[in-house]
Amino acid sequence: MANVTAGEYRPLFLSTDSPVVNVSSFRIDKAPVTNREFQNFVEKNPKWQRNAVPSLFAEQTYLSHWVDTDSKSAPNPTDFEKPVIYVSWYAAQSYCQAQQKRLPTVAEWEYVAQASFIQKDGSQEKGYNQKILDWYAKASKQTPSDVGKDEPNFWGVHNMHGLIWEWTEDFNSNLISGESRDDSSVNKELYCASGSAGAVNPSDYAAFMRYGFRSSLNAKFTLGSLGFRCAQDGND
Amino acid sequence: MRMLIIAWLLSFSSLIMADSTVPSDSVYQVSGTWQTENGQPIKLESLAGKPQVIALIFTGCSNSCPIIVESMKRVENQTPSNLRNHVGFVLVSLTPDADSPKSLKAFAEKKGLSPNWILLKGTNELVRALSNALNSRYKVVKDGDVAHSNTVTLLNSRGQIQVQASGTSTGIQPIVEAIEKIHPSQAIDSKL
Repeated sequence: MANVTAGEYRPLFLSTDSPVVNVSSFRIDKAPVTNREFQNFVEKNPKWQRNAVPSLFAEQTYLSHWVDTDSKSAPNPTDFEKPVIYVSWYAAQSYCQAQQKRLPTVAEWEYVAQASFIQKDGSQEKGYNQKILDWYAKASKQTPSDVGKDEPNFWGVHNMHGLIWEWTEDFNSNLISGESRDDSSVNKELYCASGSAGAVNPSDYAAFMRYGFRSSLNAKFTLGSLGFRCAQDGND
Repeated sequence: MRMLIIAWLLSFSSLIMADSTVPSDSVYQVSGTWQTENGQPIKLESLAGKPQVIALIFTGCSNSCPIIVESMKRVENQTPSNLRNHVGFVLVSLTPDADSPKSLKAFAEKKGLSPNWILLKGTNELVRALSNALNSRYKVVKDGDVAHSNTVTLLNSRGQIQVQASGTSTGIQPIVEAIEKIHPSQAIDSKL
């Protein structure tokens, strides 16, 4: 895992005078969890086998890219080092717990993701946003490539951009959703009028896309472009 | 005749289901141990056996939570008398780090909740999983305040979601109506 030192992160949807979020030091997996790693987990925890998982916890497409052998399913060996996809939030959370880890929060994930190759906050660096948007603009390939093949960022972390979308612990906690308009009392300024006017950095389309994507998820969704990595509280 | 056979088959299958394990799509699939307001350890699946009206609440909140609790009390008061003690009411703390069984008990007393109610304290992980299972959203914001959905859910006796409604005084009506339609024999499932 990579050590990430504490810092500040300003959620894009808060207005410029609202407080930043303090992210405590923590550790995060250097790369997304692979098919091989997830297979080890499933073998130790048969409840998470494709044919055993309760429907509350995963859609029909759960691990649908794995191949059936005998009574269980397993990843194709050529996919071992590719990130595991078609996993629900419940499966991801359970995997991380089994490793004495947890899913990163949105704030932690975004904090790591805003690092460039050379600094903690690369979001103002020329070309930083464009590079991410270029990836978002590309049609997705049939399957993602192996993890850890790109240049690591400032924290030594791979694949924050350019490979897959990732689950976060509180993926659905930004209440800029339809339902929150009439039934939650806090953060009214978020959706008053519409959307981006009050945001810190309206040009950060990439982050807007991630927030939008996360808001659209349901914990049991299993998608071909969505995987995860784990995090852990830091000691210092 | 055919209808009778189908009805008989259906009742039979529900009996078989009743004493088997928790259904695949039941909210009670969320495993882990919770604590009641009396400090008793409890698994969600032990809530099975009768319909439950469940909501996630922030005990320290001054805005929508009292409304949720009041709306649920209204459901209880409007429950037909033959079902009155056969429908349970569950309040789950959104702030398990701040709440103790003791504070939950104090909350229950302050609100004058009947013995049909149970208050649960879990861990942050359990609360997040249950919240997701109930399609409910929340976020802990500055100063321990919590922004959260206002959803109240009616679960059947096996923990499957029957009706979800907004926990306001008028929004809660679909749950009142759904409970009125429950046949007494469905409410009490002695096998569970």
